[in-house]
Amino acid sequence: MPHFLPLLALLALPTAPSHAPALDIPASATPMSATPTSATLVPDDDPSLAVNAAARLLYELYDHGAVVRRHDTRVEIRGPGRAIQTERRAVTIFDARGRDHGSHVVFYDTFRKLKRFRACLLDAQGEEIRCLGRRDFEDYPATSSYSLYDDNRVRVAEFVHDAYPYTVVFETDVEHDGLLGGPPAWRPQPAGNPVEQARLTVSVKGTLPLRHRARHLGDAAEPTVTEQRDATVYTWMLSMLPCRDREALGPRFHDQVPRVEVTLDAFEIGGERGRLDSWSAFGQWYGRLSEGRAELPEDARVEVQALAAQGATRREKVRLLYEHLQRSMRYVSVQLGLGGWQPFDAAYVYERRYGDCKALTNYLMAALAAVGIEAYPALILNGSRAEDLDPAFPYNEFNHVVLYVPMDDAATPEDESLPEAESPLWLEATSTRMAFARIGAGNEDRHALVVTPTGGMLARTPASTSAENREDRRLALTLAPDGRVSGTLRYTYTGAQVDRVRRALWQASPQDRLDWLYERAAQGGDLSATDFSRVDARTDTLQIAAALDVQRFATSMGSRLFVQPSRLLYVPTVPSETEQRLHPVRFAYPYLDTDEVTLQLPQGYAVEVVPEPVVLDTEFGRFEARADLSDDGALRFTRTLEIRTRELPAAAYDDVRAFFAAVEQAGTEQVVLKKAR
Amino acid sequence: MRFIAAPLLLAVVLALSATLAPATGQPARWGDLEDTHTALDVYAEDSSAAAVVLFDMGEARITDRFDVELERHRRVKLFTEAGYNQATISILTFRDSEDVSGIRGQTFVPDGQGGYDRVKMDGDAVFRERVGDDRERVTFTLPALAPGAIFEYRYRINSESLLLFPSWYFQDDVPVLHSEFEAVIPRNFNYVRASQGTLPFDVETNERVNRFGTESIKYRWVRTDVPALRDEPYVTTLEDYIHKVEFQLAEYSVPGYGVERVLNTWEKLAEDLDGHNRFGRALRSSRALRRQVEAVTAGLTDPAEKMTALYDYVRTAIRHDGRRGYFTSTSLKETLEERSGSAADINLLLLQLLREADIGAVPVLLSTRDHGLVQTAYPLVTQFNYVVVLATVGNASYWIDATDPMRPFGLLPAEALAGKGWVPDRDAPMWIAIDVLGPAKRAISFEGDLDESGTLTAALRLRAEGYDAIWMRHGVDEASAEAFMRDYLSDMPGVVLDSARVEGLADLNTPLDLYAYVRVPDYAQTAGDLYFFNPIPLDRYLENPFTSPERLFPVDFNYPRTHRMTALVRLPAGFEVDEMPSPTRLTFARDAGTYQCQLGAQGNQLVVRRTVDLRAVSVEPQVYSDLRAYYDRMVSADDQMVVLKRSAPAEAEGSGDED
Repeated sequence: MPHFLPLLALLALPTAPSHAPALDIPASATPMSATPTSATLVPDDDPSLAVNAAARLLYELYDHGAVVRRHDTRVEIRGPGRAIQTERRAVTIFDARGRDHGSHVVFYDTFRKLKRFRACLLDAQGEEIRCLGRRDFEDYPATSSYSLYDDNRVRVAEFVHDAYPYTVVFETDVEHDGLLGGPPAWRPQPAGNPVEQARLTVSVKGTLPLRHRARHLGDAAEPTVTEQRDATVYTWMLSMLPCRDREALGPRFHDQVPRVEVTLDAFEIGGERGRLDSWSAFGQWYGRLSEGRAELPEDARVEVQALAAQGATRREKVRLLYEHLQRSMRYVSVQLGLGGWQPFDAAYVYERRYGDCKALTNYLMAALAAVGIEAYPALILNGSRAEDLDPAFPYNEFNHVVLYVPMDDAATPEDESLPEAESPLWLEATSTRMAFARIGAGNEDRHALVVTPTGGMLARTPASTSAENREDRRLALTLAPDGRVSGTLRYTYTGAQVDRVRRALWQASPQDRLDWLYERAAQGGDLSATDFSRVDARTDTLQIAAALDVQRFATSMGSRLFVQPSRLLYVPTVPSETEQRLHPVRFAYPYLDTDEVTLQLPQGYAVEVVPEPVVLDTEFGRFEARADLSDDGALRFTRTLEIRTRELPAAAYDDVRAFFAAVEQAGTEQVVLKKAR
Repeated sequence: MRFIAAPLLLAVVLALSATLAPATGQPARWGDLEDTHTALDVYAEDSSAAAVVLFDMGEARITDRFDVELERHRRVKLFTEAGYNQATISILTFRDSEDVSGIRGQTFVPDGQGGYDRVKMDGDAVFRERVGDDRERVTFTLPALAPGAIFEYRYRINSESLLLFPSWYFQDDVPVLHSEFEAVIPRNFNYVRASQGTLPFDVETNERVNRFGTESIKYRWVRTDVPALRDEPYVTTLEDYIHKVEFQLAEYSVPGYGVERVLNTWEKLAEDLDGHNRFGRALRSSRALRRQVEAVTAGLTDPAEKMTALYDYVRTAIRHDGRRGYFTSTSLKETLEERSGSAADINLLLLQLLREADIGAVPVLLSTRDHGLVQTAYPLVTQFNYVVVLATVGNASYWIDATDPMRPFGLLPAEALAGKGWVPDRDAPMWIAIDVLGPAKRAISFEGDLDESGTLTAALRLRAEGYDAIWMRHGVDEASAEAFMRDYLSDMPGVVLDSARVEGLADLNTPLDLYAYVRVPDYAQTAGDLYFFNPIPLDRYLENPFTSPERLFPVDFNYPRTHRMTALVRLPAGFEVDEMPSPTRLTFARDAGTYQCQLGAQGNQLVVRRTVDLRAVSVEPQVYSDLRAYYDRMVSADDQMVVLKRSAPAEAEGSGDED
């Protein structure tokens, strides 16, 4: 069952079993072009699973302990709400490193019933050693980390053996009783293992049209289509897929591996029918599902009307109600059956003071309606590294809802560019701490489906710029001859960096806050007079201040003092080397970090060595670091690090790596002070 | 507030218990708020507390149906949103033998006029789900939370197992103003009780009462103003320090039949374990086991060789599924067949295989370090959570645990180094010291050339033994020697790994050797004729891990460690050492920790020798500040620089050559 992710859990995207009935794991992306296929090694349809030359070749080429021999999925779509999905997956384990791949997990829930499963352990010749039946598959709840309760469950089976190589085979039948267009996306390499042979067959009864889309499948993207007596059959065949490793600083791994998505134009789930042949139709369905659920109880109506009356402008009223929601509600996720899509009604939320993203968004919409402000829920695929949806391919992969508030009465999502119109507001109703009108890095710069009374329409959420997402650190320090410094620090954040810091410090205990700052600014020293007061407000900017005293800031050696001016400044890590980058580089958001450290030198010391300034200017970013003596004799160190572009082509990866390596290197540069004789 | 000095805290407790705690002995009534609680807007003893538990009342009894019933009623006041997590409750039970019922909850929300609105928790906010084959989880959350709100909930758990009388925890991650536990036990049931905690009880009584026509004893414990329990780094487990009471059934009598001893001595426990289906009686041979022993020991005659062969077989063939425990989860035969099992399955299988090969071996029960200390005064089997094997060949004894394919023979898992273990021999059970602490050794040999551009080119060998070799072998095996070294070297900014290889990966009885060729551009910073760099290229202390100025619980290092490094660096032609650190020797608590670093320059060669030895395994809070200072001094010593200068022309050399 698809359901909605809460904002709280979003940045570290949990392994939600939502759409992918598979273990969510690592690896990367191109298709068969880079494949070591040779005529003799093309796998045939030999039903035997004896270890063959093709499997051995994959094992040796990629030095990966487990090779997927078969990944066959057959989906028989019997109607808009019914399908039978049969899967057969065989994995050969070549050595102890592959042992953990000898398991299989099947997700099920209200709309997915497990009909059959069987698992067998085979020896190298493909002969059965032993088999497991339904009873041997252990049954667990698969409640996502952010949910209080949901109906996701899994069955798990596993084989371990020690005579390598051995092969495990898993067969499962799942009956879909309720579909949102089609079965979950098909990913034959969910964990990135090399694959000998994979096949997806989708048969559609009668004349229902099937739309499909393949990613990272190269020349195997187009299916073979055959007509049978009463069905059309689509087949994708893949073979000899290379190992996929997770690429750092890229899209979600989920989006890096090959996948096929199929959908019908009509669907039926939990007794509700809908269409997916256009975004508008899907929006209409969601709108219908929420109908009559945005009625505010009388008490609540009085409360919000009194509150909104304090606001002079439309924007001000929206702000008052949004912040009231943040103060009075909390996030609790309960996802049951169609409840994964249908919001709890406003009265329920008002009474319990909690809800999930749908319910809180719906409640805020109801509250705004009570003061005459129209707003619409907007379905979105949240995740700062998630791939944007394809406007030309209406398909359901949403996991979140935010609220869209037109600010000009005439403005609708299509004409947001009206010259005089105030731009619409996007509100993250799920967050109790986000500053008003911020959309957040996980929602920015992508398409969302705004659900208006007449249907749904795509609109793009705003993109932020580096100048909006700032971190500014200022340290004013006095250096003693023994290397100790004391002074003050002030950090100022804006935009997405406020969200980042608030996420870490919101509701944290005073000790945890101190530890956070200590780790960043005062390792080996002490902090006092800390000011975290702005963390608890929901302000656009955030400031943290403290006095610090660090014993070993500089190293004293004979007549010299070695000073690393950037010592108390955090340096980003250098992404790892890759041979051939396949996926684009994706930052969570563009940003601009500026630092200034001023250092009063001890009496009698003069500067002996100052590092050369470093200036890097690239298309995607800029870095500058320099140390100078100011007029009053203090040493002034300044540093600027800017990433201007959120996404870069794969080819830019090496440049990005070199850029961060230079930033790291510059951080090690020392200033040398020498005592005058 | 943290409690540092016990006497001080005690005074505070006595002072406060008079004002805040509900009158002792008077049960808190559902829905009746007390003025002292409604008036509370901050907890004076710990102003950072996001919530406090106003009271937590538990009453456990044996019913006339001979099951154990626990009724709990807990009331919490919220100060800030950070306390909201207190309002979501999750109870895990055994599905077949336990039942949670009577769940009620309600929240009192300030109405803004000095009163409260009451919001009841609906039945649909309570969720039950199956977990695995035999558990059930009940989860619920209270409605209408707000700062200043008070919520309460109650529930009942009935358990068919008289052995598992509920434990009671007096402490939580927020302060508890009043925690009270009552246990009503018929006189014909005798439970062994264990209580833990540094503070005395405010009330600890027992009295005779009559329940269901049976003479019973009512025990009562009360603790007030219990501070929040907070985690600290390098602590074995908070379970060792939390305030709690635990029970285990020792004996009961049935009128007319006499006394049935269930448990009350270690001897009786040993006897019970011996006859237990999943322990003593699980240690059975079968044809499959015998055939396996024959196959593995074929051709071997020396018992010691047989022992290591069987160890190597189980270590590599049977995969540890991560579970611990001392009871087998299935038969030994099935573990052997499935090639997978819990620590108990694996170690007891090995025990049986050893016995089959005529090698003397006994099981040793212990409590892993994260599970808490065993109190020998209480023969409670639940104090244990792990089992290893002690084998004897000739006069020598060997500790054996086969749960890690990378662990050499004779080393126990680090978490099993628990100080002592217990041998449940039915004739002579005994305690035994776990004195193998194993070494954790690392030695780096480094030889490099520094060139005139400041680039350091070097060959190095990293040699690891004991516990260090275990994690390194895993790292190399799961990735590769290159990937492992790249990660290991990441403290050297800009390092380029030219090549890496490993030796001794498969043979656990030899050290693990990793060889690497590296280049570090700009290793030395240059400014005209002045060159400077840190002479300790690897493994240096960058920061003091002990950040907190004070400490409540002992610092626990688990096992002794030794790090050695020898580096030889050839300087660029025409340069000599201008300044370098003088020899440093630092110690902590006599020789519990020693640090030595010595540099020598000879011609254009610089030689660095650094040795860090940590012999202390556990450090008490009283000497924590010394330990912290010791680490500070080591960080300082590792920070020292070497300065080079261009040599004076050859003629002038004589006079400039200082010692």
